[in-house]
Amino acid sequence: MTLWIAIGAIALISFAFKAAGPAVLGGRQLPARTRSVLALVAPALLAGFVVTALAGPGWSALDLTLLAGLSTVVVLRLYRAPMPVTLLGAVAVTALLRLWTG
Amino acid sequence: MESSPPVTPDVATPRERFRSGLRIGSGPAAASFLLATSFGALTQAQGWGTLAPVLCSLVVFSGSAQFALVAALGTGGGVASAVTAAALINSRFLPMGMAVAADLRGGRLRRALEGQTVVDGSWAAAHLGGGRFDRYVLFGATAVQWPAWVAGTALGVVAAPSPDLLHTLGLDVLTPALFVMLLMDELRKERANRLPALLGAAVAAVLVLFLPTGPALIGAAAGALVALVRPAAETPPARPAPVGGSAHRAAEVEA
Repeated sequence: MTLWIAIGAIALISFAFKAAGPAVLGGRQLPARTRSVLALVAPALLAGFVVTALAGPGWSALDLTLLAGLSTVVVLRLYRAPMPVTLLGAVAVTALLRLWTG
Repeated sequence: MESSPPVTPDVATPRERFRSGLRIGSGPAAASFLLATSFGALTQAQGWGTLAPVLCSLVVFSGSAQFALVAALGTGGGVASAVTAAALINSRFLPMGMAVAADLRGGRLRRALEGQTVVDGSWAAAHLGGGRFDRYVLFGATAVQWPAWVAGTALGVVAAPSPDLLHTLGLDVLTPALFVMLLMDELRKERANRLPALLGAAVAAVLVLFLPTGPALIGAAAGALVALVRPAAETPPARPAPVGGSAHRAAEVEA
């Protein structure tokens, strides 16, 4: 029973978080300063995604093989490799390093 | 609202944009599918039964929050702390929803519902630059990720692979790899994106030391406040936003 309550509660809370911005801010023309801030949310948050995915809570998830995999992504993308090639490269590097060091 | 005519010649129709969303979303969807199998498998080790994990993926649809829920309930933390942990992680949807708000359509309820399509991968993929979002790309990218997430969960529940398998195969690199690619795209798109990205990374790196990932991400989003210090020139977005909030104005531009 507690499980169902937890699932229901989390579903409602997530709904509210996603709904709040669009419902409240929606239709209005926001001031220029607000818009210029919101324009930069994407790069700031994406960088945050990468860091938190790599670090995990309290930097407990830091995994050098994962870091090597992500570095592969950066290098391959700089050489304009297509997305599937890039992803396969990242997976291969990560898996091989784990096999090697594991 | 759907009836508004296409305003810019070089921008595809809603249907084409939705399709391009489906295509862009297929990468994150594949990663979601794999991640979801490990979620499904984890729940089996915790005795969730068959229905609960699938329903959870259907209504919560957020990987990191669902993993937090399993972990917190698994350690006997009780409902309140489990829900709090998951809620904190999903608090990132607040700034993400604010950013996308202007590009959704309709009244409050309709916008609130459209806002439900915001998930990390779709939101980033739908960003046109300059804070403008293509809602059809957003919808398309989510339309392919949601079923993948639910189906992956079901597979994980039924097949219950060892949770270590994905790790051994290196497949856990897929999700952060997609974010790295999207981030590189943002940095290429506009120079002005570099400083907020740097700040976002630094703030997240420090905050995650003592906060859950959700609040750490909100801190990262605050990196965008740099715009107040170095206000960007008051210019329209880098790429013309298709059926944006200023559609009436844009219609004056030759169609």
